[in-house]
Amino acid sequence: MNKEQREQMIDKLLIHLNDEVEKTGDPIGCVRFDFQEATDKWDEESIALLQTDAEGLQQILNVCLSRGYLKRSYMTRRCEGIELTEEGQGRAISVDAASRNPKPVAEMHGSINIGTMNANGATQIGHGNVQNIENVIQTWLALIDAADAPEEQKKEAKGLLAKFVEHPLVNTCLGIAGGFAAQMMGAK
Amino acid sequence: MEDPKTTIKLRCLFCKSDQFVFPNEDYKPQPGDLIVCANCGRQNDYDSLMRVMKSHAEEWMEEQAEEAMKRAAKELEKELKKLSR
Repeated sequence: MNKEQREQMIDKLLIHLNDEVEKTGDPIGCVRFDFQEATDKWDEESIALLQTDAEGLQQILNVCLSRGYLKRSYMTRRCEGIELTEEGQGRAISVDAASRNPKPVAEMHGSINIGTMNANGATQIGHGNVQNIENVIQTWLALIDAADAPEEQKKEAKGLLAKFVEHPLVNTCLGIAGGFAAQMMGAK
Repeated sequence: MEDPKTTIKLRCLFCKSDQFVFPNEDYKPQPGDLIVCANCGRQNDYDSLMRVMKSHAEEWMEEQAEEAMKRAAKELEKELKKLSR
């Protein structure tokens, strides 16, 4: 499994566990989960939810325990008596809220403050300036094309530029619509 | 002895970064807001961030109280030893 898949599986597992906790009405420290470690009797519900196998579930549980999203309620190496932590519940709530209300606070306002930003040329950041940003990126693409470098390096540079534009934070800051990078890179 | 003090930062629930994107410098997040992490770009529920911060603050306070109790017990032991001489 790659990093992205792993993060998605963590999100799914935490949302599932938080739903179970909230069903009981008890605080997180009062609800414990037992994941049977015997390979023939693993937690089938979690495995089905994550669409993985016992090894995959173990890997996800280990990551969650290591990052503090889950904790063992007593000293054991086994996956029994597992509790959701505040961090784990917070991540579950955040992912759930973001899926229902995809507009973060920075996007609901006209401008964004993210510290210092330097740019050569007349570059503006904020909603309504997408055209300007597109022009800058188009210029970069043209410069890459015109560069005296092997095709492979040009391709790599364009790929990195696409990655930059597609990054969720850059999307948020610049207000660039999804698929913009693919559109631009495809055009070149 | 000075009162113990500490600073607990809000940290992204996904990557632990303490940098967030705000609309402007004076912006104060409101309950229910989703705040974007400046490092990983993921949206954090502000209420959850506050709850995590509160639980870390409680843990720190418990540690401080335990330390203070230990110090007080040591002092008391010293005083009792002096008296018993």
